[in-house]
Amino acid sequence: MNGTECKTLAIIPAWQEEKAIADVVAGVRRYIPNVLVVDDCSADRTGEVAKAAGAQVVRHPINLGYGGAVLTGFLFAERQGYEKVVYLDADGQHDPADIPRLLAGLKSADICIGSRFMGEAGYKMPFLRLLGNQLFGKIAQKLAGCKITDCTSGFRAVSKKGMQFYNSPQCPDDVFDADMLVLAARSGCEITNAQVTMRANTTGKSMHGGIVKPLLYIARMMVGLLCAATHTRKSKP
Amino acid sequence: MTLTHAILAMCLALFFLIFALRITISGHLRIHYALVWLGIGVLAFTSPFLYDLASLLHEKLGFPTASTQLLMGAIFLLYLICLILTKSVSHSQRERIRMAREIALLEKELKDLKASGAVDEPDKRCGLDPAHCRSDIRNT
Repeated sequence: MNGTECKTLAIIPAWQEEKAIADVVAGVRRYIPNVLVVDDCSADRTGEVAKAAGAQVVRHPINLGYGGAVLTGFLFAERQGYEKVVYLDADGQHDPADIPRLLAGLKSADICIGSRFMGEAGYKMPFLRLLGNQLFGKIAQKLAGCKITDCTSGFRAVSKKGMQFYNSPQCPDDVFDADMLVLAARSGCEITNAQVTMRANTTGKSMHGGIVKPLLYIARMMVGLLCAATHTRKSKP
Repeated sequence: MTLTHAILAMCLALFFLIFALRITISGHLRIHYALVWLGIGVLAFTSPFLYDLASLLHEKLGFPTASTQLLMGAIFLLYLICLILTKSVSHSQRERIRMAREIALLEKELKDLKASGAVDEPDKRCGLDPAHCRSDIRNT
């Protein structure tokens, strides 16, 4: 473990993930020893299992959702003086072996998105979801003025400058995908992409399952992008 | 508007006004929001006179009837009020999220401090019997 690793924190937002969280924490700790699990008021033993696996645990008193959990992690990271942050999902779909590649991306950028669609082995996604991802990705790319190959990826590395953006009041906490990336880019953060592999979802749970949820998500994302588009672009030094 | 209709409208408005006043006095409605509903109550109470005014104005303003004019006015007024209240709810929600985050981080900090032995367990009596704690403070 070198000095750089010590100042890096892995944030895992988790809700009802007692079955998967121990393996995820153990996997991440091979690359980043400091792991913070943000237990978003789970009814199961997610927090206890994560703690037993060696993670630090912060438990929300009420459920704040995915964005809220990630932002709590960023607040913790900034207060504890961490310089880099990697955040990934608690369901075990993200491969911790990709962490070094994401961190390497921070040498030239402030936010490195773990992209599922780069390289030959592109991630297979249901058609409608893929369509939405690509559509919002293209819009976000246009508005942000940089390449965004996977705007809904929950596997990202963030530098100290990026962390400051995440902890600023302009960072949205309800919709947390393409609009957030556009705002970050317009606030002066450099964004890059790194190829990551995505494991199959074994739990069968999805944040965007059903019919109403995806439709609401699309509507919220469109409003979020509209708001982000009105944000004045900060000139890069 | 006939006299019967006017009296009925005023009685309904009075009922609404008294209800708004009651929940304000009992403290269920904050004064900030109470002003909005008391204002609407007063406006509703004067609705028969508003109707007469609308009867005089609707042709000049291009509305087919006075009722349409009043309905449009009421819709836009309620739209405005809903927008203001939603803004207020959004602000409260943001504050609630911020506080929940702070509580979570403080709770972790306290647990870490307890684990390191830097702080003692709080006096259990204080948590169980607030009256006892107050008497302790008085005695000191």
